Amino acid sequence: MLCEECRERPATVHVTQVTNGDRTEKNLCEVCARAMGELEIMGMGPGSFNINSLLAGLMNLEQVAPAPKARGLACPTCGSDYRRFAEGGRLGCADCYHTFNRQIAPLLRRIHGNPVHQGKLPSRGAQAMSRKRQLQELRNELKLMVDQEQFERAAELRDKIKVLETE
Amino acid sequence: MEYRAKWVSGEMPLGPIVISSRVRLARNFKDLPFPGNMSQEAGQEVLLRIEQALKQPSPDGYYMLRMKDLPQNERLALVEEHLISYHLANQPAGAVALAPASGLSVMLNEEDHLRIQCLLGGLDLEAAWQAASRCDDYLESELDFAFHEEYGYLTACPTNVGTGMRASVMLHLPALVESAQIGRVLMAIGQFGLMARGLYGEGTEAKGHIFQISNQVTSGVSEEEIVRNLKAVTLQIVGQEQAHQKKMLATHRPKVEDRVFRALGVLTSARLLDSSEAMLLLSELRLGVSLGLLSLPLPLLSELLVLIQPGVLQSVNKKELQALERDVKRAEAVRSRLLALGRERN
Repeated sequence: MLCEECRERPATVHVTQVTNGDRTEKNLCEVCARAMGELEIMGMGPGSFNINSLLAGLMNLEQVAPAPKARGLACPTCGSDYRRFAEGGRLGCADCYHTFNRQIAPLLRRIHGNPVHQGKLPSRGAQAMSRKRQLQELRNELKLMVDQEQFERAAELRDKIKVLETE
Repeated sequence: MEYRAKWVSGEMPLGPIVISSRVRLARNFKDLPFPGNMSQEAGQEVLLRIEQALKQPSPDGYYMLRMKDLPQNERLALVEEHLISYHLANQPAGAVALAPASGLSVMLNEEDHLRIQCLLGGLDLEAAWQAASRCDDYLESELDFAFHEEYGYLTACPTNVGTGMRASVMLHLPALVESAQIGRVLMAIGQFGLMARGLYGEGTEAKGHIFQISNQVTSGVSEEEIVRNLKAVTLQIVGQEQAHQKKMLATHRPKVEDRVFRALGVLTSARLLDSSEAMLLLSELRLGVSLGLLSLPLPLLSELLVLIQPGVLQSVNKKELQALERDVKRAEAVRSRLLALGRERN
């Protein structure tokens, strides 16, 4: 079998990775595996394995991101632009996640598989969070009731939403 | 020497093979740029906020050390005790809040504003997670951390987003290395969303047959799941290492015994020890304990692992030492510990 990367040398390294159920397999030659950092884990690679270059590699693979348009995008809070992130792999501030959401969302899927938080919630923000989740659920139900022409229940839901919104 | 590192003392479940367990949580302030992108003033602000938050009563009892106030040796010693990272040691705006009795250290202005970590001896990931989470609750009662409804805790690097949690174990795997099975094992752990690194984390080599295994994915799973998964895989690796150690002893008993006791002989007699030789010899001692050939307290083995490091040696001796002086002091320190133990027993 030939290396899937260079298609020149024979594939001698088989890499399988399963991230949250997504399975990817690669057959690489030693040269390409080394270049991609796959051999680092076995202590066979040269020097240090660099997460930045790996991230940058992922970003370049990311065809979804409209590069020229995104390049001009800058975070209104911290002023860092998309290029800073693409080159360094680090975001400037928490708001960058909103500013660059379109570019970051596919990257997060690539890294984590399913990037929907399942863990601990901050106790201070939890109240506001659960209200937001509750509101979303009520709105969904309201829409359903209106579609089904169950207007009495819809009116109840509308009042509940109003109360929650003014809290 | 008084150790700030709790992982070198106390109970050590699965001790000889699992050296330590660590849980680290990344947290950031929502209204300040991340450390890699912030002004000096913002860096100061982070430290002030934490100082303020640490004034609340806490059973853990924290104290703060600022990197700019510490000489290089002291910063290096903190790295070698695994209380801070190399990266933090080189940040002038960096600091660490320590609660040694609980194994907690909170790195400030590292890659994220806060990196709360708990490091314990042996395999005890649940306790490390609980302590780190308790510290997170304690700080969060005073502070607002950046949190995204869908993504979870926000971090400077997208690889840490979600739980912000990195759980890891430090493993001593000499038999797997020697039977050339280590590559296969490390390759296999990738299938469980885990990765392997050397003794001091990212980009460092595996010295003295010591490997660090940690979770790769931080989002889409709960903290408890991360702990359970890492623990299950660790138990598998420990089982494999034990099996290979037994086989090694069964097939090459005189050779293995000679290696272990030769190491003990050199460590109790040598007048010069450089750090890589010391690492290798201590690895042999640990193997001897693991195989039941030697009886040494596990805390002593971990303590020696710290004591032979250049920063700690200089910190203990309270001065800068040249390479040769370090080798002398290193040999002295190891020899005196081991001989003192022998005297106690006689």
